[in-house]
Amino acid sequence: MEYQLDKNSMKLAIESCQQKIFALTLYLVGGDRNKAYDVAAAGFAEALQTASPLEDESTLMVRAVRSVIERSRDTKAIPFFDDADFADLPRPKREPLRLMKKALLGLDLDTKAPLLLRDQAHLSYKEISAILEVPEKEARIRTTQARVQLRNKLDEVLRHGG
Amino acid sequence: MGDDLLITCADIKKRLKPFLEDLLAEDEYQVFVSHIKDCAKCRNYVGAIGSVSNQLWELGNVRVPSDFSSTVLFNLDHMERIPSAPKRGRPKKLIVVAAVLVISIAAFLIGVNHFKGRRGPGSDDAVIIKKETIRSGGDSEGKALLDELQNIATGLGVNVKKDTEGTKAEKTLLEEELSKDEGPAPADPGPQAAVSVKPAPLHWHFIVSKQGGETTVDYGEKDKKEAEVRKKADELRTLEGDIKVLQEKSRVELGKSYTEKTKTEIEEARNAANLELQQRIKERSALEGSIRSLEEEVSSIELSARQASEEKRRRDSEREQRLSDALNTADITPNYRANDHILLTGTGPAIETAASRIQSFSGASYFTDFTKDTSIPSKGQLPVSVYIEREASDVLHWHVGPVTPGQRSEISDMIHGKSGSVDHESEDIIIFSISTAELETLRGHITALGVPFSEFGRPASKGKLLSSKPVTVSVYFPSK
Repeated sequence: MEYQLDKNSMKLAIESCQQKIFALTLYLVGGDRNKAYDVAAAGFAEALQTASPLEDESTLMVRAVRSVIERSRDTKAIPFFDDADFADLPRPKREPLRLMKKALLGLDLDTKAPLLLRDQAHLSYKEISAILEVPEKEARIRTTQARVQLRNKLDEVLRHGG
Repeated sequence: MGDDLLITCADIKKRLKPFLEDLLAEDEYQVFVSHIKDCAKCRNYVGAIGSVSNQLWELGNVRVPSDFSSTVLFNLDHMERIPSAPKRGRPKKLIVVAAVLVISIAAFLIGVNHFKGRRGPGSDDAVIIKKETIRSGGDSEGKALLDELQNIATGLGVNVKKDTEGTKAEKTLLEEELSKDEGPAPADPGPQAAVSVKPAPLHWHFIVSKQGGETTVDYGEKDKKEAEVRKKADELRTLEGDIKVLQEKSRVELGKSYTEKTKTEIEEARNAANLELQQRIKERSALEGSIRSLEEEVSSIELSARQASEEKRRRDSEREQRLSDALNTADITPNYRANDHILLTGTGPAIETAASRIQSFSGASYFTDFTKDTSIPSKGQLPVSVYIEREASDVLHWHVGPVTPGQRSEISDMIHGKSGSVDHESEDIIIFSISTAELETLRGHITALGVPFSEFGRPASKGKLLSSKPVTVSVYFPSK
């Protein structure tokens, strides 16, 4: 383990991508922050276990995201609708976000994962394909399909009065 | 990543549509994202468009708990305790073999004990479950099965011993067998953790959250205004005293005979006193006006407080009714009900029905099990605690356990020995209330025994110190 990252470098590496990974995990596990905290922390630790100083941020993120997706897969969570994170926003802005969140949590994990990675974390398709272990073209197709499914879900949510 | 590509704020407007439709080339996309992250003006401009991708981006603005990186580093230091992410399609053959092995050994020992006439938990013959058969990070379903088997064995009076007594040859054989199916074995956690049998889910928890949108009363403002009224009333009293003095002075001056002072002197003195008197009277009426206005503000705050309190009562009562309806719909009768805590048992599907109904009216709720095992069993009765949240950031409840059967009497004695009152006691749970000071002592004693002691609430309440008010604690004992 002589090439392992030192504690400070690890902390910096975590802090550089914790926002993206925590948010991703939160929506993958159904919005439960407690669960997201545990899953994301364990996924990060697993990714860091073999991290080396030569590794770039993107590689670490790919490994951490892959781990949290696998961990989230076994999480059976009842969707948790907490709008605490955007409670400070004005109502006209808050309501669409609440509906979007509801629609998003209604999608299954394999559908929402590529969409979150692209539109929320803004990862490149190369990174997404590495995470999902599929070719780049496939990652692109899945993301596009997920957007369509999310729009349909959103329509469904709106039809049922939010 | 195309760092050489330059983009200006004007380019952002041009490329907005293709960006929102995800039609930009990868380099352009990343440069676009990088620009709007750094440029607040462009960020606001792009954010104003209500597209799906923008909203998803906005949803990503969640607060990461400040202790997150420390927790990751802590996890990393204690990596052997964190099972690696489960892989799909893991073979279950070995789990089944292990299960059969445990049942066979248990049955054999029961038979032997029966014939020897010394059956019971005190028996010296113990079933040895080898850690090699229950791999850390193994299939959770398999683990649950093994846990159940272990419980059955314990229930049958067979002492399930956590041990490292297997011979080296047996150990090597098992290790070889495991490595065939699942790759290299994890590092040995040492003799202290010889068997890493994860306890079965003890208890499920559901939080019925405080609903948003309640009127908040600024009691600080009310206190400030009341203090101001008190100060002004003091000033008014002083002023009244001054006025009396001045009136007396005016009278005295008026009563003086011309022999003592000249007429002009007397009149001048009287006029001066009257002038000062009038000035003070003006001040008094201004002060009285100000006091009246402050008193009106205080009354208005009090009225808001009363209205808010009534509104809260109404909401609480509505929530209670809906909660009760949700439980009735799922055909669940609570076993215990206190002010903000309900204990109930029900089947997995019934609990899920109740949970989804509760979520339909509770703004924010979450459902979790005590041991972080996330699957909701579909069979058997599931114990559930429902907590009704009063304050959004408070620690809801304190949890002690799981308590092993060997520690039960010791912990029970500790609880009953303290002056806290036991609110509910059953085979698998004791709920008691205790003052903070005593809880601190109790917590010290209980954690010294290695029994987990934690708070339960929103993530915001994590790591909070014990509050000053009396607290409620649940102590969990694994059911047999």
